[in-house]
Amino acid sequence: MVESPRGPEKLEQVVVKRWQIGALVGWGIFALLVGGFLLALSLIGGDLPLWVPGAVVFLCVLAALLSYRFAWRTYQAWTFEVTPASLILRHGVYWRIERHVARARIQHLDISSGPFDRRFGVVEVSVFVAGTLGAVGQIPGLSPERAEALRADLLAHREANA
Amino acid sequence: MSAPERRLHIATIVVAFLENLRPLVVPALVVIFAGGRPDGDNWEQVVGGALAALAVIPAVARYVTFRFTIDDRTLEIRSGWIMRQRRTIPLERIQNVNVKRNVLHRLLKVAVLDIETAGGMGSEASLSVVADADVDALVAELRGGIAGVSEPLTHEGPPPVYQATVRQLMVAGATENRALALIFVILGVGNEFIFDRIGNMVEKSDTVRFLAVIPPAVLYGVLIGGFLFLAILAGWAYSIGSQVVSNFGFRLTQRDGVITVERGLLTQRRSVVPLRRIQLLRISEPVLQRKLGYAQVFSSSAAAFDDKDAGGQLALCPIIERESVDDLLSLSLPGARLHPDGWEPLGRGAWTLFWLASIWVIVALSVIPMTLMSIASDDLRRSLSIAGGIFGGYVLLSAGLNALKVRSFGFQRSDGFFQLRSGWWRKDTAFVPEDRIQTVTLHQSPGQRKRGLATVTVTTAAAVAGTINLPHIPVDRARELVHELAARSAQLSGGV
Repeated sequence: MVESPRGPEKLEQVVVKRWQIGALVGWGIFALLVGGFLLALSLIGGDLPLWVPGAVVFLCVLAALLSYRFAWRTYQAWTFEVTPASLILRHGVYWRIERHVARARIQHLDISSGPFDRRFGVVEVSVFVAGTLGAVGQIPGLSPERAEALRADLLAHREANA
Repeated sequence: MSAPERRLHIATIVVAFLENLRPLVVPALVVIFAGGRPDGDNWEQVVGGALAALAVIPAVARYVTFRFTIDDRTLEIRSGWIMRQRRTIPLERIQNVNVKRNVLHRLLKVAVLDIETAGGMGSEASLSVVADADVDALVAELRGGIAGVSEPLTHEGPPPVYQATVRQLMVAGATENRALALIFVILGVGNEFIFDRIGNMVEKSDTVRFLAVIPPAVLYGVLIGGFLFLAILAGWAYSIGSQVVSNFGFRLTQRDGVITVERGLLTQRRSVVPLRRIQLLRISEPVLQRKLGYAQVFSSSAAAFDDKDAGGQLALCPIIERESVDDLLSLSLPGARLHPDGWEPLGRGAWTLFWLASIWVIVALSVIPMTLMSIASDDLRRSLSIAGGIFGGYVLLSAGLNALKVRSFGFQRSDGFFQLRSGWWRKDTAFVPEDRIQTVTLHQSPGQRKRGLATVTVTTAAAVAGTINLPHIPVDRARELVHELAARSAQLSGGV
């Protein structure tokens, strides 16, 4: 195996904040919608005990706090490596995954960014090969410049071998 | 000079009309029979007329608006009236061209051409319908892109490499497990209607003189046994019949690096697959066929096949003598052959992980009912011993079956192929040419990390059945394997 000249690369550290805020907002919206609906049922219908919406909100807060703490460990587990032959993605805290995608097999790459990504100045790169319905790999939390450089690097290799 | 624009056959209107009508029949019946009848004698005619209009307008629009051109590089299709669409497919990207004729098509002397690329599931384009007389010429034009040859495909072409006789198909149908689904349906229906009637018959048996002498328990057992026997017999007959109908006249030919499969009694199909597009071959041996010395061979290519019978794979042989499998393998993937030995086993601890995975759901599901049963029961000790006996039996059975499962797994790399075998009831052996591997992934769950194991997943460009999983092998071997396969995938440039 040819060793990578660059070695494993980490994501931008700001992605931790992006994941934490995303988790807080996501769980907050869920708690508001489901908890609010159940609270309304309790107050209007009267059959549902008040502790049920309370428990739902408590579980949402717990999940949000766990996600908040988990973001840092997810970041630490995430690396990608561009070798002369392959793109290697490694991620997962408990369920660990190491995926090798041969550079010659890459069909195209997408760069996308949602509202949270844009707020924190990061983008996500999705890698596609032939014959699959979705992306075979997604690298989140890259600066737009790094994402462009990665795309140019991987596609230049493909064009050179076409 | 641009290529001339062509239309579909005029029978497109009839075929599309009937296709459009099919999903409207059930709602129409609901409206007529359940919706109440308004005043007036022409209610059925009104519903019928509305349905006909709903079905015929898009059918005519399809024929009128659909145009296609084929030049030396591309197939271009224009369609649509309100939403206009123009699709351009480079001929070199076409993976397969499938020809399909059902009974209606044959009556009208037309056929459907399904054109598949590597772009995902299903057909990329469909020429539905074209004249029978034009099919060979059209396939040859489209094949110009995939095989670099343009001779028409005809039945007078190359001699068949493999042909299935009706007797062989009957053996295939009788020895595979297609009947099981039907048997379960029959038993489901039986539970609703038949078993109740049998119960009634037993209750009234004392009114019939010759039945009155048989003890009710014996009579009940005989009637249930007879019904089950008939259900199994019906399922078996269905399995044989469906195998014969779907694969009647099965014929495999090979020429200029292209495999052609023709089959079907009612709906006739012809699939054209370039050999270099084959991503994976699978040899399948259901338990009965294995005992009789038979096997089945399937291929997965970079495009999805319209072959629901084979789970999205193309059947290269619905049944073949096991000693002939190597010939077919080397024809489809030069150099491939079955190795009787040299298989590496799974790692120590694989059995524990398989066993835990198979019992945790049943443990979770049984704890609650067992607790409730114990609380509700008058005889706590008896109910606990029954539940414990059932649970213990399942755990022991699961332990035994998982031991067989672990023993059935094996993998090896030889002759440029990654091979995986699995299954003790239905034994499968998958062949993946290493130069066609797209991604290689190593997974480790917490349980695997504790036992020093990992799972390796290999994907190819075949959208259907193109992924194989090698579970629970020692992690060091898994890392080595992942690096070796990734390096091979990167070095070589096999077909997609």
